[in-house]
Amino acid sequence: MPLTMIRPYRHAGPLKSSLNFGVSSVERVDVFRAILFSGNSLKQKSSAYYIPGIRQWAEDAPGRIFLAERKTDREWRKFSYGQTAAVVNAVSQAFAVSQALLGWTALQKYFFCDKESEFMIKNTVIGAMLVFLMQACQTYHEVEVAPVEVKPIHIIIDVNVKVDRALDDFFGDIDKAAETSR
Amino acid sequence: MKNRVLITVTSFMLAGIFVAAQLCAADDIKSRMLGRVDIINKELKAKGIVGENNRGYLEFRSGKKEREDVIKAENRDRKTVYSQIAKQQGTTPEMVGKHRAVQLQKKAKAGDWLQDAAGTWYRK
Repeated sequence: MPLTMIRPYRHAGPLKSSLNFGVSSVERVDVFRAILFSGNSLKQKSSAYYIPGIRQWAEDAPGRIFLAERKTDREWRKFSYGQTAAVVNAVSQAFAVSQALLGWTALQKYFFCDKESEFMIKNTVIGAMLVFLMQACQTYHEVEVAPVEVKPIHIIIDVNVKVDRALDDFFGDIDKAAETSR
Repeated sequence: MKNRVLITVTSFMLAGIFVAAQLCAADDIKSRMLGRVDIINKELKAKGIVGENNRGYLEFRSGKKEREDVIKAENRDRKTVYSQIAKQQGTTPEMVGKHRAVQLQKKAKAGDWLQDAAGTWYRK
């Protein structure tokens, strides 16, 4: 689905003085990235910032931009509500599966026996329990939003950081040798 | 029962061999690259024969293509490393190369040839 920008919600009048975007500080991470800290706390429960809100917006306007990040090639990487909801659902699903696998291991230890036939029968029973457990786990991952003040947040898509770290890990010795060679 | 134990043990052994092979390959590349550091820096970069381009690779800056075999081998090893990191981090070797180019620009010595993001060559 193509991503489209929509008009802003609020009407912007003619410019009379300097603009205030609510950014209280800017922290430069490196050449490519900076973190903008908002001076405005989120004092009210705002569904747009929470998972139920994301899922709601994904149904109402799946193509609308939720998050955008400037890439190193100066292009924008955009995430729509639809794409974000898909990622959120995938993460909660993965969490549910990991929980289920832990349960599976524990149950196998409990039911483990030497006779091959009994093992097969018990495995079938455990499999059925596993499916039930996975379905049950899905319902535990709805986030309960308490009406508390949320501090200013920042989001970093950390792929760039991980790549830099991996490069440092590998090339660290080589870079040191290069420094001392001249 | 015995088959299950045998399969489990074999799986662990194969996984161990695979990991060990990966580590050995990485060490081989690193030792080869360490062996080229002096040639690249003292003989080639210092004389302005090669520079670091904006994709994370060495590139000739003069008509003289001295030690071309060394440059080709270095770029081949870099490409392997970028590909492995890209695979680990779920990105492309090109993107990893660009990150490496930025690191190399920061660490370059005065007088080294460098290529900026727009493709223009300059001396630091």
